[in-house]
Amino acid sequence: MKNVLIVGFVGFVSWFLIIMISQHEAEAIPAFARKYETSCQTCHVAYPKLTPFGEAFRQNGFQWPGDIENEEVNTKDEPVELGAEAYKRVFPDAVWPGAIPGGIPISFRARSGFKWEDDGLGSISAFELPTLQTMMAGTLGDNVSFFVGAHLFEEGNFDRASVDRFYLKLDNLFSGTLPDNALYVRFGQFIPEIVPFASNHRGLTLSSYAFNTYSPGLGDEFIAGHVHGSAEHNEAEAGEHIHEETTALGPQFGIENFQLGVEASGIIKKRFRYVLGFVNGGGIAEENNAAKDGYFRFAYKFGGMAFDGSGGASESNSNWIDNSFALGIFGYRGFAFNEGGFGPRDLKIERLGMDFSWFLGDLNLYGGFMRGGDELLGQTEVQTVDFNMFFAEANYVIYPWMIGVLRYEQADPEGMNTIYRIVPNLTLLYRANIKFGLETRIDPNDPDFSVFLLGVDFAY
Amino acid sequence: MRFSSIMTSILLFCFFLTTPIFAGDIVGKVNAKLTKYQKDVVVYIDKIPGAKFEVPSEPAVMDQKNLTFIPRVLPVLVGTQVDFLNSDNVLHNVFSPDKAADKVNLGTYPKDEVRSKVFDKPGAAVLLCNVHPEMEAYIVIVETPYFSVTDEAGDFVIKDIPPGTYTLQLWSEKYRAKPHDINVPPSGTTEVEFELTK
Repeated sequence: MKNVLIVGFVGFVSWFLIIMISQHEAEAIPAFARKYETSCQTCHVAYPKLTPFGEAFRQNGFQWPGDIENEEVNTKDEPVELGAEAYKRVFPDAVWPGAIPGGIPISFRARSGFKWEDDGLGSISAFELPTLQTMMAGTLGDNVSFFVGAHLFEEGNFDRASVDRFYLKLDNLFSGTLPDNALYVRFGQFIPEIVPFASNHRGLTLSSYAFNTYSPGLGDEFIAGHVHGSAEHNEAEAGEHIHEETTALGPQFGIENFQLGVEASGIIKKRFRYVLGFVNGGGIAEENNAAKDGYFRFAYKFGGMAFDGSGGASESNSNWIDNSFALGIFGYRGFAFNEGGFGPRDLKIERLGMDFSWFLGDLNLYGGFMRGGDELLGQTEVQTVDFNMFFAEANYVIYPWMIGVLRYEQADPEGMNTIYRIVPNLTLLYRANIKFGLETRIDPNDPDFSVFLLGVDFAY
Repeated sequence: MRFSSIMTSILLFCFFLTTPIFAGDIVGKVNAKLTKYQKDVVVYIDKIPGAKFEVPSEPAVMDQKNLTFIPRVLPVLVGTQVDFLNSDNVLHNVFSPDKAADKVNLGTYPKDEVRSKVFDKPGAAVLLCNVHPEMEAYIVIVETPYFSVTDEAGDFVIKDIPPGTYTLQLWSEKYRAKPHDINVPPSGTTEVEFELTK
């Protein structure tokens, strides 16, 4: 018995160390606070929602926006050089010099909460089991960045531990030839940059964005909780659904699923941003079809701080104020392998949409419209289900530590009921890295159903 | 008596030849946005037309200790020999990709061995070790013996400069600064301040 305990303990420690060593990324990353010796609020309105500066920092490969010198000036944690700067002049007769972070840039985010739910027949209430994420992110010398993120356990369950993101990003490629910020390329597993205005990993609500997770394969339901990207996970989350029937089998695809592949992005003339991606499809789940998925996004920002972090000087002391209007269009096309129904098939997925983000004083209003179409496997044939999707969300900074959120979401899948959801939320920052969220979800189709959530969230 | 008078005269002549009777000092400060770059900046009087200076008979020394070149920045007069000592228990190599150092490669050598190089071209040369890529140092070869290297605060002193008007130049590993025209009086100090920019 003693030996079993020792082996179990050693196994757990080994697993934990492997997870720890193999990870690192960007939703609320205290490792950056340590690196630059600055508050979370330099980059976050309330984590994980980014300020315009934080967004520019993220897009620039976790480097201080602007001149590369800014990164060096603001870095307090000196990196370990892997080659003298002068080796650049020796290239190609030597390896180009790089660096690694001086300290291990590891961060943790822990979440838990309390839920009360009533379906009209009876109520339940429960303290929710905790979720622990680890994120490591940073730079490996000039213009090389990385992110590794993992869930060490999910709602108290070690079986749902997973590596969610790991990618290497090459920043400002061909900077001598191309303008600054013109080309970034990342490889690995990441969240496609399709709808950055409404990312589950940078939003304040406890409920996921249906806009990013809904597919007709889920039937006439939205995923309720926070989603972490994988098709399997979406399926697990679907257990929270009020109604569980789906009309047919199909890809449970969300545009914010983690994807394995390569993505190019860049900023042209400060205010135009493009993203082009080429990925496996199917999220984390191994997809063994030959087809690859592709996507694009183009966005333009009027006023405020430009995408590259320049301009936008405000007389206000509030770094979330960025009077501006940004407009984006995006599209995704791919095939998902499915073995169910009457035989294995590659099922087509298509999305095309537009989104916007409008900052006006303490208010940030953003939203999007999307037209989608998924092939589903019926009993005897493949059927295509088209749908329209819409959402709008308002975030209002009442105090720097209190933010009100109201979101409306709607999906109209052909041949199924229209789905609605209203999500009011109040986010309270107890400290820059500790917050509470109060939230409910209102389903106009089901007035008897009510749910109230209290989220507890801290990062270090 | 006559012999000793002659000898005294010769000695006095030599003394005045090597030590200017009238000489001033330049004291100054170099400021940089990132303060760590205030250190190891070479401040020197640029070429003086017609003037020739004797090369030091003793070589300058750059050591390699604890996987670091010491000093990191070494200014020398054109024509000076620099001895590169290896004080580490590991092999080191010294090479430079720069023309100012004739793209020299002194090879790889063990502890306590010294290899030398005469630097006879004005300019700056980076020195690297291909065994330890993080090692980096600079030899700054200047055309007058009036030079100094800044300390951590960016302060420097150049002593015993004959009176006159000169151009004060600056070399930095990362930044630049505009040269200063400066008048050195027969005695006393002249103060100057540089702002490093990209």
